[in-house]
Order: sequence, then C-alpha cells, then structure tokens
Amino acid sequence: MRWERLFERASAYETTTDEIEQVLASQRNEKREDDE
Amino acid sequence: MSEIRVVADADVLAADLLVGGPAREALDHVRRHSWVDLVASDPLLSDAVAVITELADEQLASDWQRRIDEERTAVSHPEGDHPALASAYQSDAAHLLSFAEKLTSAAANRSLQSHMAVSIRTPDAFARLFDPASLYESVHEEGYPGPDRDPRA
Repeated sequence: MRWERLFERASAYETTTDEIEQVLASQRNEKREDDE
Repeated sequence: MSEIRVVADADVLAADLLVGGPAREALDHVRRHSWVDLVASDPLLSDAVAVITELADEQLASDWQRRIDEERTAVSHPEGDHPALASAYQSDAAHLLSFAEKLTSAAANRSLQSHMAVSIRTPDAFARLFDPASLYESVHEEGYPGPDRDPRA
C-alpha cells in the first residue's frame, strides 16, 4: 500500500505527538515491570 | 545495508503515520533516498504497532507493519534492550530520531558517545539539519544526484 494512502487513513484519528509519547511510555513501563 | 543508517524510535514511527509534521518530514528525507536505510528491530516495530493499534485501529497498524517491513533493514538485539538504542548500536547507525527528552538531551548524547557514535535528535532537528548532498558525497565519489525515490509511493 502506498504511503500516501496510509497517511490519508491515519489522518482520520487526529492523534497528537503527546498522546503517542504517553502511550509508548506506558507500554514500555508495563513491559519493564513484567520483565522484572 | 547502505552506508547511511537511521533509526527512528517507535514514537517517531507512529507520529510519521498518525500525526505528520516533523516526524513525517524527517522520514520523508529517508524515504526519498535509496542510499539511506531505515533500521528497525522486530521489538521496535512491535512497540510502534502497539501504539498505532491503541490510538488508531488494528487494521491500520497491520497495513503499516506490512509496508514498513518492506522498507526497513532488520537487526536483532538481546531481549530487554531499549529497542531504538539497540537497533542503532547493532547497525552502527549515524542517526537516531526520538521525541523523548531523556534520549535527545545533550547529557544523554554525551553519555552515549563512549558506547556508540550516534547522533540522537528530535525529528524537527533532523529534518532541519539533514544535508543529503554532504552525506551522499561523504560516502560516494560522485556528486549528489538528488532524490531518487518518491517518499509517498
């Protein structure tokens, strides 16, 4: 699939960089706790 | 593997897809040049897929994963390592892109220099400072021929 088409579909979600950072940090923290 | 290798942490990979802005501008530089490799381990892509699934949907995450799999250069690293740092270390990448201040700060860059020769920058800084002609000419004998790929194809 073309990048352009992926970007068009993704734009419907109006995500922010802050949301991405929070979700990633939370997922990595959970994984670290599980590993410990 | 190409001479110029770039790693984007999962936040930058997800922002390229979901947000655009500096992350897309930075990764467009990579997509635009066949001699620049995007390096990512499976755990790094898994982190990005999990973020995309949570903030968008599973189908988009799955389609994104298939597309990025076609383009990335895969590396492996020990389980439990930070996926972006380990991908950069294993591939001897020159650039690592991240939004995380704990990675992009001057102090973090200094402390990592003794272990690996990588420049860790925000996508915004990378996009502003990326100089394809200078990079190309540092590893090729001929002059920079210009972009050789459509970054949106």
